[in-house]
Amino acid sequence: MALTKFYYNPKTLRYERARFSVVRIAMGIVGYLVFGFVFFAALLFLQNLIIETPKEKQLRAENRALSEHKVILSALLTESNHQLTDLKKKDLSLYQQLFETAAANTTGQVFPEREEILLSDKAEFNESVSQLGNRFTELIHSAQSGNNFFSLNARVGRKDMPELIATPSIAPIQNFELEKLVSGFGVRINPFHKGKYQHDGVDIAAPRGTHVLATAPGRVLITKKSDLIAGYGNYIEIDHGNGYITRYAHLEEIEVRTGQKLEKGQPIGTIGSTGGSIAPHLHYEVIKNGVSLDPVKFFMEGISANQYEVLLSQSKKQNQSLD
Amino acid sequence: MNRMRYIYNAETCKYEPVIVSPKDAARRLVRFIGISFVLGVAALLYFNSRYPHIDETFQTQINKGLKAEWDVLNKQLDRTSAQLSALEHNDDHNYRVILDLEPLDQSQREAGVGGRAKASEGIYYPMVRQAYEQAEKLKNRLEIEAQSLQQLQDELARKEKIWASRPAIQPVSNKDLKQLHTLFGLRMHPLLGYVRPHNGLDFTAPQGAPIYATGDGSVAIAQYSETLGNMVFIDHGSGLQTRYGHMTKFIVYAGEKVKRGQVIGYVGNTGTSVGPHLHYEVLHNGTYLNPINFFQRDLNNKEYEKLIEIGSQSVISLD
Repeated sequence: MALTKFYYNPKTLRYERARFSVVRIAMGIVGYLVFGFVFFAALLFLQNLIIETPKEKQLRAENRALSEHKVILSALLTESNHQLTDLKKKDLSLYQQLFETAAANTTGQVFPEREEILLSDKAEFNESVSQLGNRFTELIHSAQSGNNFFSLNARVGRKDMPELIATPSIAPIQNFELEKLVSGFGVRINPFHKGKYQHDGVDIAAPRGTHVLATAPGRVLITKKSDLIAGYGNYIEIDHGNGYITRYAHLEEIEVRTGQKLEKGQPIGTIGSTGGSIAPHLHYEVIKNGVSLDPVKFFMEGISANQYEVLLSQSKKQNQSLD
Repeated sequence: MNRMRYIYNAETCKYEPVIVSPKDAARRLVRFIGISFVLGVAALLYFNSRYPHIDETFQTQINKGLKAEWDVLNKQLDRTSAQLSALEHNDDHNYRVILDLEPLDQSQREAGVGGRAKASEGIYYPMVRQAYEQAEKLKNRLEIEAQSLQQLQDELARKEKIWASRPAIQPVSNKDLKQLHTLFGLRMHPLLGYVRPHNGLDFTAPQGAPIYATGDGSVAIAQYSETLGNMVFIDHGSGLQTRYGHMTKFIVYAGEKVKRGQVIGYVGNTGTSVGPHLHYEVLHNGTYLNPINFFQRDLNNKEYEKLIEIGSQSVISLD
């Protein structure tokens, strides 16, 4: 085999020694590589086909489960969402029937829509954000200067103390929440005849038995028990001095006596639905020198500026009272 | 290209063409294939040492994609659940308080209607099982909430009926009303001349002024009596009855259903009466109540004060 090989060259008419050819060797290597690769590919394919690693098996099973159940769960979810939409409609209609007004805060907004809206016009959105930012800074400045002016000029002296102490300043029930204020001061719809009438107080809906609190220190002026199915029912009036009187109506229990001295925040009775009332609630009035004032303005303590805004807008809805 | 190859035979001193025997060719082929195969195996071994199993990689990729989709699904479940929670909160804290019903507790809500086979049972994958459990809980809560809203709706409808039947307006319009005698209780009878209870209010109005039903109800009695003249009694349910007397005539019949504000007759002077007026009474479980309590809120406080003042001035009623 080690014999030298020759080629016949037709041009020179001689046998010429076969040269050591790079091309030939390269071709040989390429041939090995190509076939080697073909074998590699075939083996890999076979290996893949025949051998199943435990991890692969596990993943395969998991993926099958995930994709199968995803279809079922998506269907369940779609169904649930349909039911939810249906319930939302019912909830809304119930709200409208109960309060004779459209619901302001729809429960549960769909976020993607909002996000889409935000993203749809990013430039304009950024612009309005920066405008709002500027406006906000301006307002802060004006509020600061206002505060400054107020602090320089307002002095609370000893003679102002009785007025300050006598001013009702807390929510009149235990565990008050903003949403419990269901009807405000002003012209409202009467639940019985659906006509408009002047509602001289606010209605705070709460479960029976919730404690009603005195909103400022004072002396019990009137406690009245009444079985009559109209009017205030069982009610209490408290004289706080300085012309302030508060009235708490439709109570279930009265826990104070006429003439009794009261601290601010002292329980005086419990929520009920006595008198002309359609639901367990407290009808709360604030009277200064014989004139009924909007009691929402006296829910001062323990409430932030934002919460106060919410309360105010809630009390301004011209809805149905609980009487 | 395939040029003939030669070798120099020293014995014959000739160049002889190289003839490859089939055996040789086969041997070469086997050698070529063998080396290629060894190369292939070596490459495979190297590949296996460096990279995971191909299908494993595939499945991992699919798995990643699926898990991302499941994340979305779980988020959607959470969102639906949160929205439902808002409804439930509204239900428990607003509607149930106002409609005087007990709130439902969370375990009651999640328990569902019962009797359903659990879809989550026997599923090994915690992610899937949890999602099923959540979906099931959601389904139960939705059903309970649907029932609850229905209950609230029914209760509201029931109460609306009661509210609509409550006497709540003046039986005679302000534009016809000349005088309202608010004296209720004991007083001197103008014709009989002795003290006896006056159980209603007298609305002085011109003969023929319309009289309105003050609440929804059904007519119990519509007839003539010696004392009340042409009179109508209306039952409003829940123990409430209103009575209207001294009419010129009534235009309803016993058993007829009437609506609030419906004209039931006209002001007159029949029975023991000395001038055209309506005598109006409100009874609760047989007890006479002062009817002023059943329409006062229509008027603002000043008007109401005026009413009381006018009423208290009249010493003799028209009854």
